[in-house]
Amino acid sequence: MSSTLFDSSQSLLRCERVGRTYTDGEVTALVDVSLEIRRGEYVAIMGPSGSGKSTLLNLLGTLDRPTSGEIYFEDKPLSALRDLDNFRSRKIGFVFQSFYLLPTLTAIENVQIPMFEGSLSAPQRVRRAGELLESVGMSHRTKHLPNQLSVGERQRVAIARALANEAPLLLADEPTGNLDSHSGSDVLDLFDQLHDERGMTLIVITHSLEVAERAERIIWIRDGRVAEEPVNTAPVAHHQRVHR
Amino acid sequence: MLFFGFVWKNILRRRTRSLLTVIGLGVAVAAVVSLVGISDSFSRQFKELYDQRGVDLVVQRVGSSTELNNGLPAAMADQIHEVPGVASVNGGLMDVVSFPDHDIPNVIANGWAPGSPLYDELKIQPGGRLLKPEDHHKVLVGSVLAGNLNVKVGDKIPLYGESAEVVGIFDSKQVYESGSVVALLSDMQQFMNRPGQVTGFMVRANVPKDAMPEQKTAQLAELRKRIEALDSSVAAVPTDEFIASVGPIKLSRAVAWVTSAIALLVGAIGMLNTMVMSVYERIREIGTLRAIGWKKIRVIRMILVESLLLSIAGGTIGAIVAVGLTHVLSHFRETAGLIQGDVAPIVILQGFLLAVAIGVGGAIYPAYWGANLRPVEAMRRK
Repeated sequence: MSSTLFDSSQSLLRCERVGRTYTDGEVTALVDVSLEIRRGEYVAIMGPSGSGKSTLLNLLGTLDRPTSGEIYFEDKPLSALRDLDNFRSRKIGFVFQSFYLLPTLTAIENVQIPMFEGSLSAPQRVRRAGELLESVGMSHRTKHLPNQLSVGERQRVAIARALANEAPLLLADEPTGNLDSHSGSDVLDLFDQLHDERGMTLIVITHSLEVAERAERIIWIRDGRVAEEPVNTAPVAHHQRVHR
Repeated sequence: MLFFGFVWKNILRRRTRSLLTVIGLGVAVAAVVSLVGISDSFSRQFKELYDQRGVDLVVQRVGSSTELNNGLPAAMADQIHEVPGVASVNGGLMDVVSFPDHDIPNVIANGWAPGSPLYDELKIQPGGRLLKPEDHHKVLVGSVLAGNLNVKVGDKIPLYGESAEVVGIFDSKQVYESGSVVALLSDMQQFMNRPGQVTGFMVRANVPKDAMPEQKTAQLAELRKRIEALDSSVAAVPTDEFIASVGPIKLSRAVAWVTSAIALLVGAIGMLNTMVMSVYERIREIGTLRAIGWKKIRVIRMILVESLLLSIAGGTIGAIVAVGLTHVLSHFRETAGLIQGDVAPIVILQGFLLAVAIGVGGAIYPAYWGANLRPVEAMRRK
């Protein structure tokens, strides 16, 4: 396991007694969640439907705000951040189950979208987007629209987009949920590559044990609370498979 | 890819709706530009009638909102001429007549004394001549009116129930004047039963040509006081002020703006609807943009730029249609003697800027609403 690229002891994300209640339906999605994600970790968050895992991902990704508790990124409280948009742009890459590619833009244009908030010029954006698509095996489909791509290809484009601003953290919400097993496996291989070669911190929401087993650690969510974490020996098995 | 390219693709994505929005706004702008343009052209021409004759003051009866209703004694011209600072005084009688057999309403009929300088700006076409003192029941006809009536020199036209022979056809720089008829003052006084009267006097002041505008204004103000001191029933009004007070001009301007306002309101509602629907349908996409790091201000800018582009297109199309429409209307027989056929550039610019203001204004609320939704809330919507 390549841990030399990062200091795995450094805390990247930390939740302290985080809760989220929706006042319109008076639904409590999360209760008293405390956890820590270290820099360079590959973590899966598992739980049944309605357990609060997507809510937790949304809070970690600053797409939503907790109603109680605090979330820290690199030991700084997110509630104190004035410009969450800028923070997301620089620090977090998202991969969604439904891809959420912009339908009127080609693959290479979709990958450039997050870069608008950066300092790259238009030609630099195009070059970088091309490199990212090549890194996810999509260099032959750069000018295709999303509806001209297979679901697996769309998710690859979405992953390339998530890497556009070289964010240290990748959040993936059911990334293989809409994919066949072959495409899903390719996506998970990409995640392994991102983790092993770039030292990215990955948090993957999933209800699939097969997906979760790729991670170094599994956090279980049940009824809005972090459940007891069983020890996960799956990553060792995965690397054994890789190195076989 | 440039930001602008992304915005442009969003517009092309909903071609039909974008086109309908542009058309709606274009119709509103065409209404504004053509109606206001025609009204503006009307008053501009009227003003040019006086400006090209060097008229500084118009003397009329106090309190008359329409110069045709009230008259002054023609003999007052001598009194006014004696006032220090007056260079020349010319009186005339004016009425509005119609030619029902030819479906031509609202033709200006002027009554001028023979030899009056008022004839100087009329260019008589070959084969015709000016009116002589003995030319009773004879007229000069403007070239536009001559064309509408299909008359030539020597033909007769009906005027106040009598036949009047055409002795000359004239061209004028103003279509308003080219659509008029001129008879002797004495004839018009008889036709209108206003013996010894004129509608008003056009006064040219003795102001040096190189006088500064402030000097000229001050001298005219003094001259005005001296003329009005002759008789409490007369008012000596600077040309600009006179034009602005003419009832039909005020009415045409008011009607133009009221009608335009209604058209603009319809256009604005259409634009607001388009932008609200456009944002609402793309709310999940907007949520995605926010999620992947777009700032609120960039989202707002995207929506406003889309609206701006649609407005520019609508404004441009509207202005082109208005100019074309005004030109076409100026060739209709019923309007040929009244509408110049051009639209002042400032009116076109006003219409265009209104389109832009409506477009951007109509997008502010949907842009703000869309950008301020929490990303997770926006992405949940279908």
